[in-house]
Amino acid sequence: MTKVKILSEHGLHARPASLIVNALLKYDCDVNFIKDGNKFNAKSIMNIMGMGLQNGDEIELDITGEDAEIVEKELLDIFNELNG
Amino acid sequence: MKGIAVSPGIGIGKVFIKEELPEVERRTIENIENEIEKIENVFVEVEEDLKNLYEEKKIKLGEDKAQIFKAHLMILQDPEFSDRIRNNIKNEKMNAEYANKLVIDEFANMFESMDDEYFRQRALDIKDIGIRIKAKLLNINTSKLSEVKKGTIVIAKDLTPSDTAQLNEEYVNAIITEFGGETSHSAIIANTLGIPGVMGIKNITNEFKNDDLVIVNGNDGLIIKNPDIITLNRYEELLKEEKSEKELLKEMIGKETISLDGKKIEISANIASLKDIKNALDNDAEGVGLFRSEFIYMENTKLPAEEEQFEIYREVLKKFENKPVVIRTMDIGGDKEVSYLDFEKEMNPFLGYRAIRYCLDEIEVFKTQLKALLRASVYGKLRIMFPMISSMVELKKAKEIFEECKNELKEDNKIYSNDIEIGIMIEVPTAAIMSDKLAKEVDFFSIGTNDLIQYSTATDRMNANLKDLYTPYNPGVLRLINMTIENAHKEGIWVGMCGSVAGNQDLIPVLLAMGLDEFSMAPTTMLKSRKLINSLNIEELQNIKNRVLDAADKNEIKKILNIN
Repeated sequence: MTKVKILSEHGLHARPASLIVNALLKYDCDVNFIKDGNKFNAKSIMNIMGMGLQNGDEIELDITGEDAEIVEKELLDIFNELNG
Repeated sequence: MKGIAVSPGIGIGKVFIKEELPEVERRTIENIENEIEKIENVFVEVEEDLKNLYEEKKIKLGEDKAQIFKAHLMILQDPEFSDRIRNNIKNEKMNAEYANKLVIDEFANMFESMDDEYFRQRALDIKDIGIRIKAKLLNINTSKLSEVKKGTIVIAKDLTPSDTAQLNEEYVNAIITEFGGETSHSAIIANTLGIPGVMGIKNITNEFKNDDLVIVNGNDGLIIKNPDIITLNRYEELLKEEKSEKELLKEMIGKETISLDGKKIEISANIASLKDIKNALDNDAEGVGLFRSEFIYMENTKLPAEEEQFEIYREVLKKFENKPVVIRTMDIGGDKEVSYLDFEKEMNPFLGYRAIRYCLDEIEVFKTQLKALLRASVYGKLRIMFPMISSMVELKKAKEIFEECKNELKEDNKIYSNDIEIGIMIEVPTAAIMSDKLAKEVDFFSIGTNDLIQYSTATDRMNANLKDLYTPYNPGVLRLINMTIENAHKEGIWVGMCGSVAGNQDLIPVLLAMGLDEFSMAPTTMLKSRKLINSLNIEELQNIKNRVLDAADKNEIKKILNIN
């Protein structure tokens, strides 16, 4: 599974979380973020924010279903931009 | 009736009571499909409402203030959220109202238990959504805060973020709430919008009915229900004065504060958090005379790390550009408690283990703050102030630790400014008496009158029975102030004042005559004070000052100053 590290000073707050959710809602596939063995629905803003991701945390991307590859690429782009 | 005055000004108007929804109870339902349909319809309706509110507020108040409704919309559309409600109904045969309550509580608790203040605040947003859904489900048309008429006084148990976002400051003349104090969400909003506010009055929503006439005095916390015509006239007169004064004061923005005979004075703001910066700058603060850093500790659930503090200090310094900012090192203890620091209960907390006394004992905690301050110092004009100094020994030790912090930062190759002024609060009588010696060791003094009065008159300022004794007009207090200023000037350092006496319009002339250089006060009184100072001639005030210092008691002083 692809791993991503959060490198943003304030962790993953509402604005970045909403960017992710908005991007994912276009697709039908299931997307989960995995942190410390726990799965979180990435299409849920409350779930993502509820993960309380801080600067330096690492998560895994679990994407299944149609367009999985496209979604992964789009997600990585978003994270890159947020981390940049 | 009297409550806590949290936002200044007078408001007169007709009562609008924000209705509270009844508690919901769990019921077992027979027809699951019906219940699901009910909640689906409510989801659609609330979604419509939020979209409309967003569009409406965007036009009226701007994108920034409207954003909250967009965030709420996103929570509502969250599949995790609505699915959980649906599942509760389906699997548990639960009524929709209770299913909603459970999911809201669950998410709100989750956010409330998080470490980060930002996330904890989001719990309020979730509860807000819950209330919208609940109102629709119960088919209660909650009277709308956004539709109140001109001249309304809003009375509520508490105000949520979406309540306050809907308030039209043009129509709401004042706010009264049962819950909350000076640092509550509603208080901050009332202050930012410039709406008078009184809080902390038990049972307030039952005391009034809609359309009652009420006077709210946000200056002293007084509430007058159905006033007689004489009282009403008096307050209308006061309100009129307040308004014209406010208009007139706007012309003071951008001017410097300078007495008629040419002494330049600094009028600066007392602030407790980053949120207060805007109000301070809007009122043309010439700097910050007191940043109460203990609020960073009080609003946290654990000791704030160096990095977190650094960011806050940097932000204040940047916002004030090259204007000076006095940051007082943490003044915990006394009436300011911090839940995670295990202070022992004391008989006399104001005389106990607090402020610099704690810091000199818990040196690592102190160093964390000093290093954060040092690192932030390169972003502006920083002045550091130690509170509660009662002797030279404490001052020397504090300065020693400060030097240690500099050396440690140097070793870590971290930069700091070499122009930081170091000062102390003069609030303990022995510090005032020893000010001739202390002045040799610092760059400035700032007189903290709230505690200086309390300590020098031996009067607990929290005890309402003693309020006649707790007075700045006690000549002993004024002599201590005068002595402090004289001793400071002999050593060539400047003296400010950051207690509430600094904004006292009756005493400003006396303080000015004594030679006070900086006045730090609540942002709302700054322009008024500038106007006053610019109309005074310090030379001509010497006579009044001498008479005040020669007076035997407070009554004589009040007579000299023409105070009733």
